[in-house]
Amino acid sequence: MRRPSWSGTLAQPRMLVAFALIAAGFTWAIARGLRFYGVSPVHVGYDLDQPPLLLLVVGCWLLWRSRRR
Amino acid sequence: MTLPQIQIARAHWLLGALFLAIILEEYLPLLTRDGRRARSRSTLVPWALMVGGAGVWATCVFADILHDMLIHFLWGDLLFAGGALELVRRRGVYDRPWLDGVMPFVFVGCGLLFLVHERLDPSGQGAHWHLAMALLLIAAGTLEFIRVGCAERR
Repeated sequence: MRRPSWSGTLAQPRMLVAFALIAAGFTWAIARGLRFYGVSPVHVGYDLDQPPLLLLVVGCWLLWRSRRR
Repeated sequence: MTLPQIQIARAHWLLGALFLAIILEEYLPLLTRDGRRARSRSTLVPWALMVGGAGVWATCVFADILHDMLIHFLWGDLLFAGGALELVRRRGVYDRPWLDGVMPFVFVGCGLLFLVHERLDPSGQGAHWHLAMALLLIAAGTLEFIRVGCAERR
């Protein structure tokens, strides 16, 4: 018997880990604080290359990769 | 040319995020539409290993300490070779039973290199991290070898 789609979604391990990473990234960003370097291409790289933001990026990427194929 | 400490830290953060993504993509199962667990076996993983290998090799250009250059060069070799072998297998152009051992070999090899790195520079800033990474990677590679061995026996 096919499971209801919502229960399958909740049981998707990748999605659970992705939400945990996103929550950890937000908590880390609030606790540690983020630096703003500027909006030029090099500075945008510096803006993004901070551990809490990288954790958020990995979490969002994993969330995207957790969709059913 | 020597990079300032903050740039070295930024490179480590970026590579750390890349390797975290590789591990999650490779080992977190996907639930298929019929509810079965499946591994993605995506070609993204070997590509990411090779990109990571190139990033590690870049240290040879920027480092000014011989053992740093040597260890990072060997890491790059291992990651690039492992990535290339996994890529040919996942593309279906070359498949042999021994290729099952490539990923665990890369894990154990990288872990041993972390251990050598820590031994060569025990008072360095990242010594505790190097030791932790070494133990985790060696444990992960050993467990993966056991899993592959058990799967072959079935």
